[in-house]
Amino acid sequence: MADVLVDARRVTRDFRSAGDIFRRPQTIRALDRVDLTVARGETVAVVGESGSGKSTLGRILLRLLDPTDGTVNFDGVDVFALKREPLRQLRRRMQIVFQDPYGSLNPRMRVGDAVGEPLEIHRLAAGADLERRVRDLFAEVGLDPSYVGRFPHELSGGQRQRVGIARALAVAPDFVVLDEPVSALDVSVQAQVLNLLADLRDRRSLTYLFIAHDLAVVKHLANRVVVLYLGQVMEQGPVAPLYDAPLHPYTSALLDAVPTPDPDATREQTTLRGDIASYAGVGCVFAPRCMHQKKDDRCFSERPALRPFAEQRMAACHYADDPAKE
Amino acid sequence: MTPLLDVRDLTVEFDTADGHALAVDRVSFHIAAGETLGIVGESGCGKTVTALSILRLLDDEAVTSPSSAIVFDGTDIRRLDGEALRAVRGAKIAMVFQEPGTSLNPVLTIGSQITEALHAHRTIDTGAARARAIALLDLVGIPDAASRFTAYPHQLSGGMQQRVMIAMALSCEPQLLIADEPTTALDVTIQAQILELLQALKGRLGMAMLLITHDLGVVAGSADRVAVMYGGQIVEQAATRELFRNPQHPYTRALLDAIPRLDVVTPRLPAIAGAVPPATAWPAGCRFHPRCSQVLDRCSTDVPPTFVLAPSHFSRCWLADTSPGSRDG
Repeated sequence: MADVLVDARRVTRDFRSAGDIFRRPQTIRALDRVDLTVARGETVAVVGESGSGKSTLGRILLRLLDPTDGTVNFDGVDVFALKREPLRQLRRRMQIVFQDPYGSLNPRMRVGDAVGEPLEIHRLAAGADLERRVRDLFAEVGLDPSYVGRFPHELSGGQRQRVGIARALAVAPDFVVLDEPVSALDVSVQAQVLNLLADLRDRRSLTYLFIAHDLAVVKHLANRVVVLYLGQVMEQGPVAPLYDAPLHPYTSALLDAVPTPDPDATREQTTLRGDIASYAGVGCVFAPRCMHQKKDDRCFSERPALRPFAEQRMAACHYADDPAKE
Repeated sequence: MTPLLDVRDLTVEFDTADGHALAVDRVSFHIAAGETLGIVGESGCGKTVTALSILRLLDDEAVTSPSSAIVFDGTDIRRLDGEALRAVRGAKIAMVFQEPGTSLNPVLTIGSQITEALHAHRTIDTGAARARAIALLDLVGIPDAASRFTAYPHQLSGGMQQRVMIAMALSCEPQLLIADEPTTALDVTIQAQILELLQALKGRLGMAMLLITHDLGVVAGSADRVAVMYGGQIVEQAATRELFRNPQHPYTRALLDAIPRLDVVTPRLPAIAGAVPPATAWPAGCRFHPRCSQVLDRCSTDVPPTFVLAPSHFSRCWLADTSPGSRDG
């Protein structure tokens, strides 16, 4: 692929549960040999339910978490091989925006200082220059620059998320991981923030990894979508064909779950049952909840490989039909 | 027919550090037995204060105007106290909150939390309470309910925790369930499950529901009627199908347009400009006028009355004024 910015290979991450007097400690595989590439200027959405491993993946790409196995290259450099100073240099180029701006901002720090802090840490600005740049960042994300002296609790949820975005952009990164950036916001404010993220991407030529549980939210921003379930890629591909004709039953279920603002719309009877739960078998990790008509013994005895389909799509389902071939 | 709940001219005010807040301003609505009313609006529009005032759960600083009436099953809740109020709260009217993780007590098993509600309202022995709690957990779709009786909240997922909250709310077979953003903190897949569960339970138990949300997409498939709130007032109210097919208030239309949809391709989402002003500083005239895309001259000065568009469709907007010369501004 031309001009790959982020290239993750076979990323695997195990967590060990603490255990207690009743239960032995267990190893939980949060990510299982995930390959992911993000081209420069591209927005890739990683979608799945809580527990799918999507945030773990985002954190590993930024080296906020170490993988148990696998590699991550950023702009051709092995992120996990870097020592202190070059790593610090690299961190300036990759940033993250969290879901809950209230939880991720220091409640005792004025929001202007929160936005200026990365500039100070990376010694990019000081004094009057720092102040000017913070005000410019506020204006860029649609915040009144006179708000610099306020505390997080004095702002609305949408304004706090704009602060979180300004803080991430302060050091002029190339790559931003957006970890559920709008799921804590009202619908009306979600639209504002999604539009802002699109504008910033265009103006600053940003590359995004957009993590979400809701396929409707990422549709307007993403070029490609990766659907994760229990740490494995179920399906990936460009936005248009993936939404029009999902290959994997999990993708279909995620699409069906999106509420339609139409009282006459009948929900497909494929509403996903139960919760995401660990799977110890040898078959498809999604099989216990799968509603596919063709689901059979093979799904429980043989793990489907992630295989290629037309239009640069991939899916891991024994019974995925290629709509382009029909 | 007398409605199950009849709220008339509900007005709630607070004194805050920033001044006097008019959180809810002469709100009137009713819910019939077995009916679902959706209350929709952004954060800060007075939805939750309205819900809490029905159960008299507001702080002492909140003053409910003496002209307000909250009549439930023939009795004005505002006049109840002590035992009489306790007999309604949790038993006849129950509530489910947004974040099940913070509503459940982390150091008690879910079984003991459900039986606590039963013991609080009924004379019931321990064995019967346990059996009833397990039946309730089963009713709300918790697999293997008997073994989950002794589980602690942290051992359950967010969706399962919300099912436990619903089981607790249903424990005394309420006539009215108030669900305040019951799915907002959940994944879309789990949201769909919980909405489906609430629909099924409503049909099965014949209870009425007040469903509060910021997302019109959530009420589309669940509510019989919808009241849209802005600035502490109901700005539009209609039967659900009518509201979605024929929205009259620009705020309702803006809320509908802002929903990210799978079936519509737009380069930009139509967002509502600006934010809800604080309840201490509602704008003059129509409270929505500074954010409205169809604002008229008079909107900044004249308070729009509630126009009746059809027997059960109301809009508090000058655009709905059909009297002669009304568009001259």
